[in-house]
Amino acid sequence: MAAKVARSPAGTGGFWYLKEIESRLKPGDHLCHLYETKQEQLQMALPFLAMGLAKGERCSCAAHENTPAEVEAGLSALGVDVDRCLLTGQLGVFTAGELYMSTGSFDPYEVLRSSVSTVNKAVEAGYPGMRIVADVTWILADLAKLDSFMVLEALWDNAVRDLPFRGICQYNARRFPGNTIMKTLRTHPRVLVGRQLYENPFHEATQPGRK
Amino acid sequence: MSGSSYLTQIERRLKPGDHLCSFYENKTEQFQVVLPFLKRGLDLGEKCAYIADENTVAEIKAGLLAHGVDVGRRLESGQLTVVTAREFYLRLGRFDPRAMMSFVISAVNEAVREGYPGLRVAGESTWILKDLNSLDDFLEYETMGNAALRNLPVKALCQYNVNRFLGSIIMKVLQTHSRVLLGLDLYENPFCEPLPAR
Repeated sequence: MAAKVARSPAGTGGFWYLKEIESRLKPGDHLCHLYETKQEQLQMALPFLAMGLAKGERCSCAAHENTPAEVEAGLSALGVDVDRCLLTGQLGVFTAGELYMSTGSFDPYEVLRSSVSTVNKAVEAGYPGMRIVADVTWILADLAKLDSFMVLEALWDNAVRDLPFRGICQYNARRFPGNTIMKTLRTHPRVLVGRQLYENPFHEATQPGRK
Repeated sequence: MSGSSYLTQIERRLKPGDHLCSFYENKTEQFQVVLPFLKRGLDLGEKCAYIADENTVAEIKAGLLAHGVDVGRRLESGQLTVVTAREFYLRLGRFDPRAMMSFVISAVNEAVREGYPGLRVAGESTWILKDLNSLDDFLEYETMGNAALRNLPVKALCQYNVNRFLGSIIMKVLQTHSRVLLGLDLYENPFCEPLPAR
């Protein structure tokens, strides 16, 4: 069931940049978004999700710097019938902790396994695809997990390739050290910076665990 | 890959006016890029300058020696200079992006007047962390670099330790250098605004 998204909701400026980005997305896309402000973060995450909902895809958002309530309010402002989407299960809004540490601890292989099964379940349920936006800043609360998180980032591409999946990992560049940002560039073939989508030449299709 | 074969690959692709940045996490990664870069410049007869901050001047000289550079002779002839960031970037007491860029351009012209085919500069950027008031000015200077150095006989390498800088600064650095040295590769950098053709 597709949610209705108003074409140019008052005060949102129409999100022309997202239409351009959307036209270049392809199944299996695993993007990272590097941003500096909460506004930049939402201006990418919300229309990306609203667009997915409008296309009838199942959508998940793992929030951290914004609360799930803020994400839901932002989607409402874009014309999404949030209550109905939540009720039907087309939309899920969680905290990043719920998504990444469903088993109580963070295990990159477990997250990957359950994410792939989530995508497959969406397809079985009749959705044309699945999209996920995840705020990665939660990892800053426990930097010891950063290395295994980067293992997940490196594995992700191969795991979702050919699946009807589109995902954005959001990194606040003002909160992460430079070396993490370089690692995100090493692990994402395409990158969103501000409002633009770039093919990323620094991406390394290498084995995970490389230091 | 040995240092020299990697460098031959990269060196072949360098061009006058190149404004490069390199990212590294430790001294090994830093030195495997910058020392061959300088040595090659010296071998080609170019005038070379190194601006040191997280390494001492003595460490840079020792590193070059270990790479087979006859440091004493090069220093004496004036072909090689190794200075501290304080002496170079803060020579006027405070950092002024326009004055700094003019100084670099006049150094290129002076090298040519002295008969060198060009100038090669490599600088460490960590001094900014001790003088964060200069950060915006320094990034403005970096932005000016692409256009200001274009077509001049100069190759400039700005080095950034990604363990020391915040991600947002690294992103700005990425947006101000048209080509990037990372690992042992030279990349055309799509995150940098291209210069208008002329």
